[in-house]
Amino acid sequence: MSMDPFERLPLPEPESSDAEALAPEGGNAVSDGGFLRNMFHVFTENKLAVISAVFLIFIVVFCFIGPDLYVTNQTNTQDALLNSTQNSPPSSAHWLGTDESGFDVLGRLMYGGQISLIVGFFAALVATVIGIAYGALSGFFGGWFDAALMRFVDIGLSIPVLFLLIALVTIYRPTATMLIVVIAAVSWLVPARLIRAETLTLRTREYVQAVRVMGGTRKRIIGRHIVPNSVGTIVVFATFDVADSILLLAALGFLGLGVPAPQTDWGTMLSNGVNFASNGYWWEIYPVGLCIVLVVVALNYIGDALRDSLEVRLQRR
Amino acid sequence: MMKHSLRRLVVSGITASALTMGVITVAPTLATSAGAASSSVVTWAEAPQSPPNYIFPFMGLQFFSVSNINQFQFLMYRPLYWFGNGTSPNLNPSLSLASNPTYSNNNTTVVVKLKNYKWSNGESVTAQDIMFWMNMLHADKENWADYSSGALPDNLKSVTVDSPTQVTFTLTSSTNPYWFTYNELSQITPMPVAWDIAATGAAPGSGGCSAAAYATADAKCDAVYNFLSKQAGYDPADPEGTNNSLSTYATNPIWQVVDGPWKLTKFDSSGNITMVPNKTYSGPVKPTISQFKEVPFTTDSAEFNALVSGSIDVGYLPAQNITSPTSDPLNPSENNSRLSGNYNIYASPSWAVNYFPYNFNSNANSGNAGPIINQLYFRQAMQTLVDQPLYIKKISKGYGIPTYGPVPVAPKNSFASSYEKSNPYPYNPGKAKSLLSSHGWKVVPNGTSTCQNPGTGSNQCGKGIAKGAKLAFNLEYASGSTSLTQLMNAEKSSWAQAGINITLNSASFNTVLGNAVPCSSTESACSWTLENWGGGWIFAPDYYPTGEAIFQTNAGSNSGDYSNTTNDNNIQKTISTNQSLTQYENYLAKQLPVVWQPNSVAVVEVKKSLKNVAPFDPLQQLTPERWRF
Repeated sequence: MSMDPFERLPLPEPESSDAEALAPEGGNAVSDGGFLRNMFHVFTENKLAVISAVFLIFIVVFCFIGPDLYVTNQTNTQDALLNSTQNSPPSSAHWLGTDESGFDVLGRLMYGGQISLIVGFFAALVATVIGIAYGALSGFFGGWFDAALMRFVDIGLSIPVLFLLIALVTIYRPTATMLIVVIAAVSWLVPARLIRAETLTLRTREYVQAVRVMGGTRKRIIGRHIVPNSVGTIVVFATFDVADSILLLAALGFLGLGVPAPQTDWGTMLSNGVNFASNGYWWEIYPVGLCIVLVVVALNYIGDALRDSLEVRLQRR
Repeated sequence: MMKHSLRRLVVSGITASALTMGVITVAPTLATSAGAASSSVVTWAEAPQSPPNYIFPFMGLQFFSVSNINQFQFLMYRPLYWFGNGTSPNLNPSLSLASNPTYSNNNTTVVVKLKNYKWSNGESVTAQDIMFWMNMLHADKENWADYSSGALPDNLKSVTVDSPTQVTFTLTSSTNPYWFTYNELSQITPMPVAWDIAATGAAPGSGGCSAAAYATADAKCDAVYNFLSKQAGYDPADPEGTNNSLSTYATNPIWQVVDGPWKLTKFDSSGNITMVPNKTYSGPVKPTISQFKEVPFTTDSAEFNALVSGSIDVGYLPAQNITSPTSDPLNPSENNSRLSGNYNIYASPSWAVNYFPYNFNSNANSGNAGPIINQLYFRQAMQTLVDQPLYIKKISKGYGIPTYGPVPVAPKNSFASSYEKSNPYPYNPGKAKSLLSSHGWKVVPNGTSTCQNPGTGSNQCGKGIAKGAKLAFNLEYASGSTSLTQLMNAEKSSWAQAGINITLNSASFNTVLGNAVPCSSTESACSWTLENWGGGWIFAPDYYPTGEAIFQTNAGSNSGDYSNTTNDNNIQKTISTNQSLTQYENYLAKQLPVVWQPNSVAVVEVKKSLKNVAPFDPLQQLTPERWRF
C-alpha cells in the first residue's frame, strides 16, 4: 500500500494538563488584529518614538500652517530693511527677534523649515526609489550584472559625499528641486546596497522558488515578492535618510550653497546666524540649531521604533 | 564693501581694509599661513575670495583688479608715476620713478626724466624699460585693460629715447597736461630688459621689443607679450584656459627681477603670499619688517574671526561686525569691543565710484535683454529702485557714500558736480512702475512684467523688444561678503516691486571679474546681463576721473560695451582741453550707463603695535615698506 507522504497523521489530543508544557517557546501565536496593529503596538511601546512622532507632526504644522497664523514678511528684503530693526532681540513684536536683514526669525524658521522638510522628504523618497530598483535588479540577476552594478556603487561610495555635493551644487544653480535631485543623487547608493543584500537572501526563499516553478515572470517576482518583503528595510532606511537629507541640506546651506535668498533653509539660517555669533545674537543661532537637532533626533527615534515594529520576532506572539 | 578698479575695486560693503575684497560662505578657513604674527612679520588680510591671480603688469580686463595691481604687483614692479599722497589720490613725486613730466610745444611734447632706480639684477631702470612698455602697448593695445580709443598709444606721434634717463613723447595734438599725466603716463610700468624674451632661457633683450624704436617691432613685441602672458598663466590663444602657472610665480626667475621694495618668495593659488624685502631697492622708503604676508579668506566672517584671534596685523571690519554705526563715513565710531583692545580702527574712503555694469549686447532672454538694457527708461526704472541711503544706513552701518554719477564724491574734491551729488533718480517705486507702464509694459509687481506694446514709439517698449518679452535677468555677484549679499537681496526685492525679476547667483570675485567683459551679441558667451564684482571702479591708473577707460565706446574696461556719441564727445573735451568734468559727469548721471551703487568706506583694523600704517591712500595701495613695529 502506498502512503501519501503528505498525509497528515492524526495527532493525539494533548491532555489538558500537558497543554501548558507543550506551548511553544515564547507562547502560542495569537491573532490580535494583524500585522499593522502589532506594528503599531510595538511602535507605541517606544515612548521616545511616540514623543518624536508628535514633535514631528508639530514641526510640520508649525512650518506649513504656522505662516498662516503668524504672518511675517519673509521674501522682501527691501521692506524688511526699511521697516524692521536689524538683529533686534526677542520682543512682543518679534517673538524670536530679527535677523541681519530685519526678517522675523520665528517666521523665518517656519519658512526655512518648509524647504528643509520638503527637500529632506523628497530627496529621501527619490533616493529610496532609485535604490530599491537598482538594488533589487542587481541582487536578483546576480552574476556579472550584479558585479558591474555594485562596483559602480562602490565607486560612488568612495567619493566623499560633501565633496560631490559641493561640486554638483556649484555646477547647477541650487533651487529646491535641484537640491532634491542632487541630494538624492548621492543618497541612493546605500539603499541600493541594502536592498541588493536583501534580494540575495529573498531570491532563494521557497516562495520565490515556487513562483519561478509556476512560471512567474521576473517582473512579478521582483515587484510582488522581493520588494514587498524588503519593506521593513526600506521603511527604516527611508526614515533615516530623511534625517540625513535634512542634515546634508543644512551642511550645504551652512557652506553658502543652499537655496538662494530670499528663500532660506535651516542650514542657511544657521550659517547667517554664525556670522553674528560674536555679537551675542543668540536668537539667530540657537532656535534654528535646535530645530535641526530635534528634527533629526526625532526622525532617528522614529526610525529605530519602525525597525523594531517591522521586526516580526519583536512583535507580540 | 571694496572695490575693484584700476581697476575694478573689490567688493563694496565689506568695509574692507586697505584693500580689496570681494562673498560664499564656506566654512571659515583662515589660510594656514596666517599664524600668529611675529614681531618682524606683518600679516595682511585679503578680501574674501579675492586672491591675486596675475603677476604680469600688462594685462587685460579680466585681471585688472586692485587685488592684482595695487595690492600685489605694485609691491614688486613700480609704476613710472606713483599716485596717492596721504589721503589724496594726487601724484606723489617722491615715490615716482621719474621726475614730474614737463610739457612744451603747446602741450604736444612731453619729457620724462628718470631718477636713479635699480632693478634687483643690478641694472638701472632706464628709458629703454619705458620704451619696452610703450612698444608692447603699441603692439598689443587691445590686450591692455586701460586702453581707450584715441588715447595712449593712438594719440602719440612718436616716442624717443633721448638718453638712458630721458624719454620724449610727441603727441598728435595738444592735450590737457593734467589728464596726460594722471591718466596716460600713469599707465606705464617700466619693464626690465630681462623680460624682453620670447622663450625660456633666452638672452635678455633677445625678444627685440625693448631696444627697438617706437612702433617698429610690433611682431616681436607681440611674441614677447605672448610668452610673458603664458609665463603668468594666461594664454592669449586660449583666453578661457585655466591658469596653471600660479604656483610658479615665486620661483620663475622672470618675476624675480623687481624694482619695487619687495620680492616674492611664496605664492599659491589659494592666495597665500609671502614677500621679503628687496635688498637692492633703491627707492626712498625701505622696508624694516622681515616678511610681508597676504592671507586669503573665503568669507569676511572668517576674516573677522582671525582679527579676534589676533592672527592678522592689518585687516578689515566686516559691516555685519560693526557694532557702532557712524554718522560720518569718514570718521569711524567706536571699534567692535572684541577688537578694541588690540586694534585701532580707521575709515578709508576710496577714490572710486561703485557700480555694476549692464551688458548692452546681452543675447539673454531670447535676445531681448540687450535691447531692453539699451532703453533709458528701463535703466531709469532700475536706478529709481536702488535706495542707496537706506542701504548705507542699514547694511554699511553708515560707512558708505552714495554714487550717483561717474566722479567720486570722496575724498573731497572739486570734480564732483552738485547735480551728480543731488541724486537725480531718488528711490521711488511708483515712478519706476509708471516708467515701465508708460512704455508698453504690463507691470506685475513681485512677478515678471512683460512687453505688451512692442515698437519704437514713445509709449512702446522700444527697438528690438518683442511682444511678450519679459523683464527677467540674471545678476551674478561676488561671493564672500555678507553685506554684498544683503545688498543684492535688498535690491532684488526692490526691483521686484516693478516686476523686474532678477535671479541672483554668486560666484568668486575672480569669476565675476572674468565674466564681466565686453562681448558681441553673436557670441555664445554674451549671455550675461548684470555682473557685480562688488566695488565698481577705483580711478587708477586713470586718476583724473574722466571716465574714458570705462565709459567711452570700445574702451578696454567698458565691461558692458556702453556706447554713446554724446558721452564720447564729452569725454574727449575733458581730455583735449581744460574743460571741467561737469558736462560729462552730469550727462552720465542722467544716462545711467551702469547701475550706480553705494560706495562703501573701508573700515580698517590695524594692530596697535604696528605703526605708520595710516593714513591710507584712497587707491587701496599697499605700502608695507612704510610700516614699523
